[in-house]
Amino acid sequence: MSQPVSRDQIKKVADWLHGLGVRFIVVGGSAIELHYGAGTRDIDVLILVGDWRSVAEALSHSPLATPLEPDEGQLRGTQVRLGGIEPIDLEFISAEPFSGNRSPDEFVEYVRNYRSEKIGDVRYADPAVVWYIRLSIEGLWDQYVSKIRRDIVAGVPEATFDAVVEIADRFGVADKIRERVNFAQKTLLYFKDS
Amino acid sequence: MHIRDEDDAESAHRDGVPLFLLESSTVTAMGCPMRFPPQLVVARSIQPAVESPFRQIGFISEAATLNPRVEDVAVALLDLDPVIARVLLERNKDAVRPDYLLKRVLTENKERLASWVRFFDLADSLPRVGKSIPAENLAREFGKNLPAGTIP
Repeated sequence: MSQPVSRDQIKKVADWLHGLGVRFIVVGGSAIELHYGAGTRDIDVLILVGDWRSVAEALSHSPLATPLEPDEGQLRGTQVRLGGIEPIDLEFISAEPFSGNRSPDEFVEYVRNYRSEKIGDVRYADPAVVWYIRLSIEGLWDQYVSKIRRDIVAGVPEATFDAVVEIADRFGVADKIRERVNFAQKTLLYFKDS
Repeated sequence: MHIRDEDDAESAHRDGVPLFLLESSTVTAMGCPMRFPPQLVVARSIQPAVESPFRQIGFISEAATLNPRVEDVAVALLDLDPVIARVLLERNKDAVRPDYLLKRVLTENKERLASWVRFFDLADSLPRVGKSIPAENLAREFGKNLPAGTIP
């Protein structure tokens, strides 16, 4: 199993990616890691649907990364090796599964404008976005509840669930996501003292 | 008392009836992706009065059915799949309270099964009863069937 990626490594990779001219927002555990030591083993970035080609192009010219994996829909990965650090898995995600009744790029713009934080040149999604994304993944969302719990243990407030429902509401999937939030909260009760 | 479906179990639990429905989605959400038919964990004190199509797991402790913790889920899973029970504890090690785990295993008289899958690695004071899976074999299980990790 790969080693956890440190905050500094995430920043290094994000800065490198920015330098290649790729537009992205850091999501997943790597966005959580910005403020909470949740422990993540890869770096996930959200991109615009139309940027797949430019991302692949930018990576193909960099000696520091392996070529982007063949097209697998909304998720494609690479491995990055920056000076002195082990290869890091970097996953690119486009927003089709998360945009509900709006366009994928509207989701990215929404995160960019309202639900992220810019550090230097790089944007990091808020924890609510990360949880919303996790709870949106059909067929796998229940598995991500354990990661949400990990984030809570690391200090992410449980009230973040409220913001998750707000995001879902904006994209017309509030009923579905509220149900999943309820399930996650019910699961968390198994970890609390009565 | 009839517990016909998930909703019946949910509302009975909410109303303070000492039972809870253990579903695979909960175990999956605790970091052990798996599928099994729902199991009704019922306090032995009321078990004769409960009719249900769900398979039942009897708990001596009423308190554990009213406010189950992750350790209680593991103890219930011992009847279903002991190795998964141990994997569940391993993946939620940060939340496991050794004293409570010890108490729960002893209360439910599960020392033999708990020893088989080395619960004592997490609760030192647990008595060793019978044989145990070698630690290295168990360690291999910890690395299997991990929660999906590719998408955040």
